[in-house]
Amino acid sequence: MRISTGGALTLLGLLGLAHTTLAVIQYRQVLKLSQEEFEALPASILLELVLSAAVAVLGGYLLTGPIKVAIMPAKGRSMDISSLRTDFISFNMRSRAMPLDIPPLTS
Amino acid sequence: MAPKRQIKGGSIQELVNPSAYKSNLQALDFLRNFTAVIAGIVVGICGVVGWHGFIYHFLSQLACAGAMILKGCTKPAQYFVSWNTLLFHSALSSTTLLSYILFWMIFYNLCHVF
Repeated sequence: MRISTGGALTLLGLLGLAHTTLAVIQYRQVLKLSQEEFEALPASILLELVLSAAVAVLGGYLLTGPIKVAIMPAKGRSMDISSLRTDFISFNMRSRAMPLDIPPLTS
Repeated sequence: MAPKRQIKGGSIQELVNPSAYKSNLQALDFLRNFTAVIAGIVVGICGVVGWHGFIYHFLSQLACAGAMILKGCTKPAQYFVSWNTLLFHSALSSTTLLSYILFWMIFYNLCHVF
């Protein structure tokens, strides 16, 4: 199964964020053992957080894919809409199974 | 539905390709939801508490509009038909907001409560 670049970056970023979570949990445990108050996260954890978030967001940006021009020019319309005949789409329904020789309700 | 004609003030302006427009909106939706999740995780790990935590959510949603401009949407009128769509479509929707709150809560609880 081939993973795209965006998918790989997203996965890496999410793993990094999970690792950052574990690091923060361990840091707080160490603080509790040494009976110190939690004031701020250390710079190394913050750096890891920022890098992982940046990689994850970049992966998401790549996963989003390209955007297309929505306004059609007057000339040179693309092929993808030429077969779009939404006015002719039909739907099946069970009314075909209904017998036609039953008397109408109002008469 | 045939390609829609936009009628502004009685005069026909331009045709919109519905499949391309829908695909653009889906891309914007995905990016907005994804950014809400990542922002929630970051804010939860940092230990942000209080109403001002929502500011980061709205900032991240605005950044998605910037990301779309980076993707090639130099003229929003051509890709998203209007500026309002680019800036606000699904930015204030419940899906993105509740996803942000969910991941913010989960990661805050993981890191700072339990």
